[in-house]
Amino acid sequence: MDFLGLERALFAPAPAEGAAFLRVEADGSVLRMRSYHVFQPHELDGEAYGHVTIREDVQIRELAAIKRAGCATVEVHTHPGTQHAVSFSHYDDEQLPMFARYVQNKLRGRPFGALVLGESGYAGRGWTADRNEEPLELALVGERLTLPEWSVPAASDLGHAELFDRQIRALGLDGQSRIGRLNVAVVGVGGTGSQIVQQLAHLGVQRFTLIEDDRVERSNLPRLAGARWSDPMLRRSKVAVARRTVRGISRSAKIRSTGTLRCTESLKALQEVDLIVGCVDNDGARLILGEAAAAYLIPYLDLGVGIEEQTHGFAAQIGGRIAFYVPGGPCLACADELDFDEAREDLESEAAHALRLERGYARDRRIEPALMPLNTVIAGSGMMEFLAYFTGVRAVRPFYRFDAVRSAIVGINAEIQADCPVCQPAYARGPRQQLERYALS
Amino acid sequence: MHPRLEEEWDDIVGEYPDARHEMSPERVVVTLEVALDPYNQALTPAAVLVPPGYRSTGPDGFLVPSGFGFSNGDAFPASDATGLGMAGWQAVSFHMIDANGASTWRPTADPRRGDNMIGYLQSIESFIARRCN
Repeated sequence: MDFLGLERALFAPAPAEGAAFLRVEADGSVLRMRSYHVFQPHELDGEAYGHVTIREDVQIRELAAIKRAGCATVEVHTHPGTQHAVSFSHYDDEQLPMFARYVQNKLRGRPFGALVLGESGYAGRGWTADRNEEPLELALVGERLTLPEWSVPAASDLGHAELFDRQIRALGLDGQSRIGRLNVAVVGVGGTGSQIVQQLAHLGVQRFTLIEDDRVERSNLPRLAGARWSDPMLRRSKVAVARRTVRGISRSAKIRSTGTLRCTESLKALQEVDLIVGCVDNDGARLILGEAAAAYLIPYLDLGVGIEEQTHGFAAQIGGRIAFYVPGGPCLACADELDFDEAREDLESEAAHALRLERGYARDRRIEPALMPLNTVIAGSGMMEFLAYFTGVRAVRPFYRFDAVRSAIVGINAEIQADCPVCQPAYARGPRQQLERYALS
Repeated sequence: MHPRLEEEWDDIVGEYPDARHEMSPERVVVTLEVALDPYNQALTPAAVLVPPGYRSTGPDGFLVPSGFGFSNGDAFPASDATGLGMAGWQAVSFHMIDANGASTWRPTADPRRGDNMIGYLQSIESFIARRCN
């Protein structure tokens, strides 16, 4: 659903309050909006002491329709003119618990929520199906991030208008300010990830979560952006190189590093970011990231490169893949781009792997060929999708390959698979997905 | 309990009433009836380790207690499972693969529509009935 459309309709009667019922699908603690009904002036009783009241017959009609649809509801109203610290009014505080009881008597066994929208924020309260009250948080997902207008700062808040002048001319002020507010997780900061970190920093991202536990080796120098000849000698971590790269571009950037993907800290950190960029070389990690993205409704950009080795002095296939999972859309597994056998081997314990190796069932893990220009093409293409998603500069192209031998872009047809074992069971489950089961430490 | 296993648990208990769920490592333990000939016991516990990527990634092998084997003393296709965190058990080599070595595990979102733990346990029963061939 179009949140901006809802917001516009709700604020249309300003300075009078607007009100709506959201029709939501309840899945545990998550309420997913399916549609909304904004009440028109003839459906309201007028403003009593500045508070909007929905006519009783209209409430009954709407709640009956919601009940027939098997949905729950969230009541939304506005506080026009409220700029900061949006909260429910004293009147709301008095009336809401009674209204929640009323709605939950009509829609038995279903949760209920209430939101108040100001011009620069919101407040939310929720009641579980068994009528316990808890906070209600709003998260927006979709084909393109449609941040509410109140989340976009004014030009004066940006502070870097001159620094980003050329980008603002391309992306607009809103687009640039959105970039500056993102927390981006980069998982794997090797050949591709080191360039992703560098480009994100240049683009103006200020918050990074870096997930990687490798150290720089001499054989990494030909493709690790920002690496110095002394890094392998000093056994410097790849994260330290990435941090140095970011610091060299932005002194104010905040960088969090959590080590290996398979630790509790990394798995928790992933839940708090606005975007996951996966630059990993194995499908086990991709499975974890895919589940995390679906469970927490986080967009996930997966970038991969591949070169097929040849014995006659040249490679037969050189290319890469850009895959962008947008919550609610197809994932890597839907697109048949995830090898579950490989993922199983990647995720099994060392003891289990040793056992399978002994029995001749484990795969041989070769050292893959690599070329920095290929990483550069894929990183650049991925960053164009990043800009498409977060700034709306163009539509997102979620799945495609780059064939470097033919210099061709090849589309991948991907549709949501209703029986996908990765994104479908995990979708919007949040903590119930128990991602920590992937932690080794 | 692993969230995907939790979805199947009622069905598992319906099929294997004595099924137990244990942790560290996470596993499903059931009692299987086996023929005294060729085995040295008529009943044996069997444990299936639940991989973290389950159901996308299927289980691999299963475990039986160390004393379980063939009654005629033939070598049993299993190795000590202490390294898997299962001291006193042996890991039986059992893989759901086709003639080319590719996995035949076909997972789905709805456990009743694709491969699941019940199907895996039944495959183990069938494997044991075939004298582990």
